[in-house]
Amino acid sequence: MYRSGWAGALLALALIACAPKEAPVASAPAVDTAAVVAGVNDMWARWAVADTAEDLAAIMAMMTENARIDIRGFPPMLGREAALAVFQPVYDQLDYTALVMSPATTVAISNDLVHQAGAFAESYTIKGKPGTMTDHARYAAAIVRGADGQWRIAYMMAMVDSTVTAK
Amino acid sequence: MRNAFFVAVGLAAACAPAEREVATPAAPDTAAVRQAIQAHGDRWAEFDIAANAAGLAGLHAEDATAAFFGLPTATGSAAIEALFNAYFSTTRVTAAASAVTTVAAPAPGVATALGTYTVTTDSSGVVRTGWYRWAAAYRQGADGQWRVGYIQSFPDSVVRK
Repeated sequence: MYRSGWAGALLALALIACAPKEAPVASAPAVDTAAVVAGVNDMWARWAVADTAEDLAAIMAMMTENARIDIRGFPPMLGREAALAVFQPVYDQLDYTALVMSPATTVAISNDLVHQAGAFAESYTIKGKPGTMTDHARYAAAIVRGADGQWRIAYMMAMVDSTVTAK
Repeated sequence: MRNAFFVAVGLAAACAPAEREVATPAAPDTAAVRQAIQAHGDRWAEFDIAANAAGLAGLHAEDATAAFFGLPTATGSAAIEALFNAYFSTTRVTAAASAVTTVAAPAPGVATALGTYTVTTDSSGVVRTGWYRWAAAYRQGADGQWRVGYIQSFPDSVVRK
């Protein structure tokens, strides 16, 4: 599903071959897939740091104001405040020790919008108790770049079901 | 398919006569897309009740990915059809309804939607009704049909029954 680079290369060749000699044709800016992917990867890296640091303010800042989050077992979260109301009690009880994101498909719809799906593994301990547990989950997200250049989650669905992806 | 679409758009733009103003793609008609996505969901429910795994697979793009709670992620319409066939071998769907709650059409031929799915099943005489939340990305094919490129759903334990 992730062939935007290939399509972009063909599109670029086509444009070079057929572009009129006169004034350039105005069109939507080409999607810089590499830059988009790098931006989203950077957001997930910062998310992982914030997750293990229990920095909920930083996590909320990586969601748009009106983000919607659907996580199995919780009501739909509409907006940062609703998300914080759900996340805070969880972080009060658990101590996250690691988060590994594994995007499987990334589709750059534009330079400001990405659709992504994949899996993640999140390790944690229950505060005050020994033993580390790891949840395996699958997710789908729409991630947008704001006017400030920062990538944020506009939508995310996730389910922890520890189901291994079929090979 | 989506890439081919964008390449086609690019070619059309690049090769257009210089004296003609190049038309930019029309903004997607979100209301029409929403109607099409709801119709897609209605067909899904019909195929579910009819235990029509091939029909359900046909609602997906060839390279679609389906991530249903409790089942391995399936990629490709053949794998998705196999998933449904396995499901129908043990379960009979007696009622189903899909409701689209949110639709976005960020680019021509691309849409995303959220919704709910209610399904009543009979498995060895045990009748249950399940509520699900789903999120999906769709692509419109050259034939004008919208198909799922990606879908995820999970049972909704917090739904008001």
